[in-house]
Amino acid sequence: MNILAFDTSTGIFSISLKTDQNRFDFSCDMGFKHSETLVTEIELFLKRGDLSVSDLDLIVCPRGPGSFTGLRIGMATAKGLSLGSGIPMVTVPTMDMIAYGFDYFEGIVVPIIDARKKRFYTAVFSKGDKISDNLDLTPEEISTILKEHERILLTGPDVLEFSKYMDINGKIYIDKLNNKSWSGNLIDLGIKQYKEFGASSDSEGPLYLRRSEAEIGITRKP
Amino acid sequence: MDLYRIESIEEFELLGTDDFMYSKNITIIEWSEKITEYLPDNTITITISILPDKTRQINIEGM
Repeated sequence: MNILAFDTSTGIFSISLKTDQNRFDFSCDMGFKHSETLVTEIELFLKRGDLSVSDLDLIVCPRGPGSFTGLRIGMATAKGLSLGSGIPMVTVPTMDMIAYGFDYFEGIVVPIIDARKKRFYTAVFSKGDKISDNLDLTPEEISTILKEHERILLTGPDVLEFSKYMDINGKIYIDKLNNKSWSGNLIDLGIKQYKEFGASSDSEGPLYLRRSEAEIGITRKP
Repeated sequence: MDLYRIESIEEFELLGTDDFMYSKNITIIEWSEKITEYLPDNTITITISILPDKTRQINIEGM
């Protein structure tokens, strides 16, 4: 199976291509320049894998939450490739993407993305299982959740920003190593999701976790 | 950015322009009072007042 995955949901960009023989990964942290970077990197990766778009079997990108613009760039590009070439695509929740691979941790795994307004997107995982919804909370609200657990691993692109709000004691571990690149996780999670549930619907949009355009339109004064 | 026509903070969020404000670049915002809760901690506020003699007084806070 030839699978292309890319993540533009945060300021860190990453892309992975897995073919039957080879595997390519790339990530960079240069701020939100995904609209300039993404298509160029896709072309480069296909060249590396000696593939054309139509040789792909699956395309994977995050669903959200995350940067609204970042999610739109990723999903719009994935949909364009998918619909244009007839290749199935799946989207993976961002929190699941970041928490993937930590099922060995004896405690809870808590991915953290800066949601601005001094709030953070997060979720709670235990031994690889998601045990909460996708959440949009203040540091105090997250702290209330963490207090119920004995061992906690914080991971994700904004853990260091978040840790300023926490009293980091012996029971909270900060993942300083793996908070850099998640497109490889999208490959594994994408395959799993596709086999279990099939391709994402064409009409699916990003998961913002904030009030939607429809809700804002309803409450706008005529 | 000129946020004069923005009617709610949610409308601003959906534009996705908050990424500009949190970059390493300079963002100049007119009508920033519409999105106070979104402004970063290191925001510099410039207030321009028109005095009775028609001159301008400029206050700069946050430098």
